[in-house]
Amino acid sequence: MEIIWLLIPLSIVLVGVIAWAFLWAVNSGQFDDLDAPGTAILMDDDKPPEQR
Amino acid sequence: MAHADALAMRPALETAIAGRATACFHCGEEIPRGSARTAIVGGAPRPMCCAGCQAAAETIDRNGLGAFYAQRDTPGARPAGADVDLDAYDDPALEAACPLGADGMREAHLVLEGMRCAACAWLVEASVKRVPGVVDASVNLANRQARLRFDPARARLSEILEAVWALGYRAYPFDAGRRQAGLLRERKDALRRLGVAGLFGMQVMMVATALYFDPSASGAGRYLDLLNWLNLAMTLPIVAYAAVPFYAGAWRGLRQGHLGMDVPVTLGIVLAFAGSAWHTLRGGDTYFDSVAMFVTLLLAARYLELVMQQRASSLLDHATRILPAFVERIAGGGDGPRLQRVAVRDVRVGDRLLVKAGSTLPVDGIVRAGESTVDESVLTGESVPVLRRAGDPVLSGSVNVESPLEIEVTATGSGVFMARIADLVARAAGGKPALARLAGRVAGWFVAGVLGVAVLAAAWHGLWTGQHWLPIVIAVLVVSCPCALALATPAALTAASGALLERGIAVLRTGALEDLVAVTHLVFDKTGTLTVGRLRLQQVLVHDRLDEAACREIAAALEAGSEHPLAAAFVEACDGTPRLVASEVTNTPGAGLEGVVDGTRYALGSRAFIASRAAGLPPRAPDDAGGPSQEALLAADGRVLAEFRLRDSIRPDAAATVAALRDAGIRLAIFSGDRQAVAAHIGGQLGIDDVRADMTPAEKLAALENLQREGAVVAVVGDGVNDAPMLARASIAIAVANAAEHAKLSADLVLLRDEIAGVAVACDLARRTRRVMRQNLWWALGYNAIALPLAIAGHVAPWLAAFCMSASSLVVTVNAARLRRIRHP
Repeated sequence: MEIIWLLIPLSIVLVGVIAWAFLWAVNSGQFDDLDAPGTAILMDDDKPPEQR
Repeated sequence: MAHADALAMRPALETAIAGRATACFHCGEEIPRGSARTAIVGGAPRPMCCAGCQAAAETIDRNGLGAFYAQRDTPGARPAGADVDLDAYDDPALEAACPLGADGMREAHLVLEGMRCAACAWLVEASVKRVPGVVDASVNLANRQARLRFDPARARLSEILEAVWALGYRAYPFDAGRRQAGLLRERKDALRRLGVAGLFGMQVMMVATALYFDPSASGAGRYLDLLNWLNLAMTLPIVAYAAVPFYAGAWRGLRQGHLGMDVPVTLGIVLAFAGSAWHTLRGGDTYFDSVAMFVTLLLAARYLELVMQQRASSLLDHATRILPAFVERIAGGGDGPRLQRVAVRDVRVGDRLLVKAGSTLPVDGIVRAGESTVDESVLTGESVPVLRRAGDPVLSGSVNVESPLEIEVTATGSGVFMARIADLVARAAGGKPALARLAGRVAGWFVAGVLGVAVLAAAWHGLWTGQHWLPIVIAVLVVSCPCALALATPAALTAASGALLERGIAVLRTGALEDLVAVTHLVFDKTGTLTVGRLRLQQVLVHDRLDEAACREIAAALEAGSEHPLAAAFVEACDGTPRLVASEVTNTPGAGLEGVVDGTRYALGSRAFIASRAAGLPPRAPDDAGGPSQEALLAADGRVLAEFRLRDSIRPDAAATVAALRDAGIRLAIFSGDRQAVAAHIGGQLGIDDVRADMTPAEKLAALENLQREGAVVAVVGDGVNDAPMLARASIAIAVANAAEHAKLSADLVLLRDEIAGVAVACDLARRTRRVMRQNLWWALGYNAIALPLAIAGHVAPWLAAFCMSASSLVVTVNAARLRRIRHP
């Protein structure tokens, strides 16, 4: 059970990292629109405009 | 070339559109008979319904954005011509709305109308990014807005707007002012707190699970302190950060002298945390898991409610869109009169302005030169434009229809008619009757009761049984804790608002749905509410050699260049694009016009206008069953060719809506500013007996107050500025889709689609919401009636209390979710 002395600090560090990542995501607007970006990835917008 | 295979549309949409052989490839609407319009998309010709769709489809294909057709799940937007002069947005005076960034780029916010699915959002974003000079663009589908940054040296705002308009969407810049920023900050803040509570809550629950099994029995007793201290540390962010809004709410409530839900919530959190911390230090049971679970669940419920409310209200942001506010001032200098373009706020009383045909008057004034008809329907509800000549007063907000007017300004700013109405609105809103809320009534008593019981239980145990009082108080607070009760009404209201939003009804005030149940009377405005708000060609009586279609075409050609509401009706009757062209058109304001079509000189206008130009005028035939109508006659070579009858028709869904409302036991009335004959006819058609006509905004307000004095709870459905005071005073104000911005802002519910059926849908759903709220409250109270005595007796461990409370909340939430299923009429 001595492993607990390693695992508990590890879990604290992990929670800290995840909390930081979550706050970063909220602050940088990752949750502002949850609908459009999901489908935007399916679109090919790399085709060049047709030359006329 | 776009790939043809990429154009295989989604199966559902494909069958929906292909089901009708003559559906437009772009917008899915039916193609007018005889039209062979096509556009090449993905290398194959596709059927198109109109020139606008054709242009939009070709633009999309040419720019290599054909993937839109493969990914969309709703048909495209049918393009309409720009209703504002886009070039005006390049004016330096408007640049304040597009702040200059540190890197020399301007930032602009656009509201987008006509955007319906994720593919639309992608299409707008992709095409805006292709405008040279645009650095960054992001489109938000949820609130129909776009944020973009562009290089002012290389791109002009009008170019960017044109790129969007060309696709068939309407884009307006808006002032992303404080309100916007505030809403976003509020939402992000709530999400941060919820996320933190959830993350740390999971850790606490994990450790707590270990503590549920007696650690000392398994020989792990020496880790007990460690685990308790760990949980204390993990709960600290929840108590000190995530739960802060509850403390603030409780404090606010106490200062205002009422006992809200937040008071026992705060007490529960603080007591449970302090007690657990004490026990961590001195040994004993801890309840950190209860605290964490409690805070997380409550925050989640509140977050969902907030998001739903904001989504509904952000759809109204086009109310803050910026319209160019410029006027032409006639400056009399030494070198004769000349025109100056000045901002409206710089106009002074006594200035002379030139108001062009088709523009809205920004100020009140008196006509000094010129003669024209003016559309005052927004102000008075009168559906027919009125003639104004030299010496007549004109009011701000009305639209100059026919020819230029020179006016002398009599009032500006807060003195204008519109502003006086706004003033009336503000005063009316102050007298709005407040209805008692079910949850509010129950909550106050319940909270006081729970606190009393907790104190009594503690005293009884402390004095008689010698049991430690703290776990019992905590169990009482946590078990009873108004969670299920707190969720009972918001969960139902949130689910109902969401369901309504899907049906195109935005609920701007959450309490409005509760109030809607109590409504006894419903007052409709007429023009634009029960009726479509546009004149339509209803009947053509042919008197001479030409047939009906030919007469219609000639009339449309003559009217094609006019701003008169009649003109729009004629052009619409010819599928939007007149096939003939008129030349030498001259206009006599308030009477009619003359012009040459195919070498023949025609006159189109009122009876008096035609009488002076043609002999043998037939007497006016009685109106058909459709009611009073407007008349226009067509004549050539001294003979009358045709009589046209035009009318503002009743909305197609009005009859069904009125019937549904009457069946629900609501008394209906029409308050109109229009003439008695027209209003009475509409009332007769729909079976509404209480019809009052010729009313000014102040008279409407007075009539409404009379009803309210008799004890009626009145809802008002309206569209214009002329009923804004009435809307503000009504218990429930419902604004229709094409309502004036003013009316929308003072409304509780806004219909987002151009139909009136939403009123009946909202009433029906409000009743079902009420039922669900009742069930939820009974459940919460019944659960407490069983759980509380057990908790007082000391039979409920804090972790069991937390579990029961969560299960109880879940039942309430699931019950509310039933409201999301909408019964389709």
